[in-house]
Amino acid sequence: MKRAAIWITVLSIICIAYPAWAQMTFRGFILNQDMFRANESLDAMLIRNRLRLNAEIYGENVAAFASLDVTNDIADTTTTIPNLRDAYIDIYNKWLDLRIGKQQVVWGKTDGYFINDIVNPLDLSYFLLQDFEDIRMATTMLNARLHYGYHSLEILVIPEFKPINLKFEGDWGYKRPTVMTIPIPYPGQIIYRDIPLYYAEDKPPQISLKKAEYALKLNTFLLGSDLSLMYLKIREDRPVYFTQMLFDTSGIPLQVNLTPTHPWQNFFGLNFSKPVGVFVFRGEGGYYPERHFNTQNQSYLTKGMIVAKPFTQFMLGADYQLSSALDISVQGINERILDYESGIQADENVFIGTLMLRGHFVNETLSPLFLILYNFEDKSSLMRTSVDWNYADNFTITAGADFLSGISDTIFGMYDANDNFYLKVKYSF
Amino acid sequence: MKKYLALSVTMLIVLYTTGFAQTSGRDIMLKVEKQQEVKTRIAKSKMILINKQNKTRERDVVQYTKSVNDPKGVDEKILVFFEYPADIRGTGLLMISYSDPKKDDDRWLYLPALKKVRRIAGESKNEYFMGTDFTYDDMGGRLIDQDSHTLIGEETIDGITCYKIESVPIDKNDLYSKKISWVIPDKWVHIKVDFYDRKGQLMKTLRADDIRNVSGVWLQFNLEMTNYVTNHRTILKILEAKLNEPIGDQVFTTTALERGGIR
Repeated sequence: MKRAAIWITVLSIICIAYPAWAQMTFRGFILNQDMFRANESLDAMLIRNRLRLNAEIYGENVAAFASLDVTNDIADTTTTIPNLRDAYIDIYNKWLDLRIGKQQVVWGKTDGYFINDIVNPLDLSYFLLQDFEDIRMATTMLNARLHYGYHSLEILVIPEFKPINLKFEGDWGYKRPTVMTIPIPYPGQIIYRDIPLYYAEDKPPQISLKKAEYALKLNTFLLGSDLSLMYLKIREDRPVYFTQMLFDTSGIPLQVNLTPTHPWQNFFGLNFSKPVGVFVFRGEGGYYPERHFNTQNQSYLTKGMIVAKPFTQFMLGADYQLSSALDISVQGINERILDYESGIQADENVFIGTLMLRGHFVNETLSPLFLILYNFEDKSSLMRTSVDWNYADNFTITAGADFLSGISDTIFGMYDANDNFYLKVKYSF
Repeated sequence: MKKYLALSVTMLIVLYTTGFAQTSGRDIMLKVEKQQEVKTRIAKSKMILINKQNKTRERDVVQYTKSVNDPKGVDEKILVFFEYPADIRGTGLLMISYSDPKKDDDRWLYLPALKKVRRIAGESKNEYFMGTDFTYDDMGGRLIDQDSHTLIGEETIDGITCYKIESVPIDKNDLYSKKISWVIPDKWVHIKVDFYDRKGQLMKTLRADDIRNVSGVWLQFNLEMTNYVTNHRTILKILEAKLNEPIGDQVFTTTALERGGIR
């Protein structure tokens, strides 16, 4: 009797909801992705099967969208993982767009790097090698956009905070230090001792409107240029560790406890793009009046070994069509800690150059890509090559290879052993 | 004296006929332009791309066009969205063209996979549009005085006597050295256009049929572009066309591009 009642209820819901279901569209893709290490071992770094299901429904001035990902990763020996990627509702009219829910917001003009593009935290579980649409993690927020002609003002209220997703183990684990070398003065000498580091779990803060992040972006079109100005009051996505040293009775350090924190910061940014003849010039800049870094300078012991310094980032780039089948993009990216002090656990100055070549051959059925990011300061690099073959409508095969190089304590060099080649087969519907 | 008089008369005849032909050529192209002049156009189309092995791919496209002619010199605004296939659905292109032929179009491309609007060079009119055999210029927005038009005769195509016009680009860097158009008089639409490369070789041919009158305007509902260089064809079939329906200016903005469609 109870079972019959349940079935009747379910069928009733389906019948009542059928008109809504009938207006809903389902799209998505099925993807198989296989990545192997490019050395003698040829071991599998990633064997992934994935289903993406997007549901969309439209009404008059309202719409809803949800995106579900189901991933089965054999090489990682994880079980099948469902993930609600996006889920939001749109309400809009002539001058206002409101989007409420779990979403991605992309600000910025830089390819392969994130200067203004800091609204959503990054999923760095596979370093920078995720697909572009997967590298940002959707966050629940209110996104209001007021627009008037070519101008618009975006306002974000983000009550949910998520730190960047970093793995610390496995092939793509971020190699954080496990010991801290501390000089210990003894009579007549100084002995250096390795003190073990203990990392606490990264616990996101309680969600409340008082602790919400805020962002404003003004977009305009002036003298042929797209121009955006922005301000964000946000937490630092990457962990900045509050360091506590524990001592024994004789004052010798025993261990170091590191608690991840995500300090508040103000961010001012701008970006522009302007075509000049056959070129398109792009620029992006960011300024943190105070950005937080860990330091080894013992004078900051009472402050948890954290120091705040002004920090700037900017990018200048140009796009050019070499021919009808080949595009080239170059970018120069600089990051700088102002008022630098020795001991800060980050480089004072970083300069990265990028070069991207993208082809469109055989009526855009064959699209090769070459991308290189080169760090001029530490001489490390990431090189990505791939070819997309659009075999048929909705069906794409991608073959590619990634090469990372540099010494082990550099941003790209730490993954030097992860040179790989991969194949992706994707059917979209 | 007689020789001098004969030469003068000959020169006058040549000048007169050349001037008359140039004026006539431009007049015809102006009639073609005016015939299709509408305040707005919303068109749903299917593009079929056919390679030399006769393998086909399809593109479903929605295009919104608005004639502006405002004091800022904006001539036309065009917004195009791809609805099929699924892997490019939501890709959008926004183009704003100007009355001044020396001023490049403003263009933006939205790629759903990147979730970014990207500015593209307006000078790249000669680039092929999304793998089809139509260039951005072929898709619309070319001003009449970007070419010099000459009526070179009449010819019968599909049983219809057409005006034959030669159009030579003013810009010597144009992809084409010339175009030959066949225009149906009284309907003032092209039925055929031959495109010649810079070496004067025939490069592409556009054929149009299924010409229908929609709200007093003659439209070509079936267009086929054949590219002899790549042995590739694109068939563009208009599935639905609405003319002079109100379209707000807020449609032709990057906000609408990012929204991924007009709902």
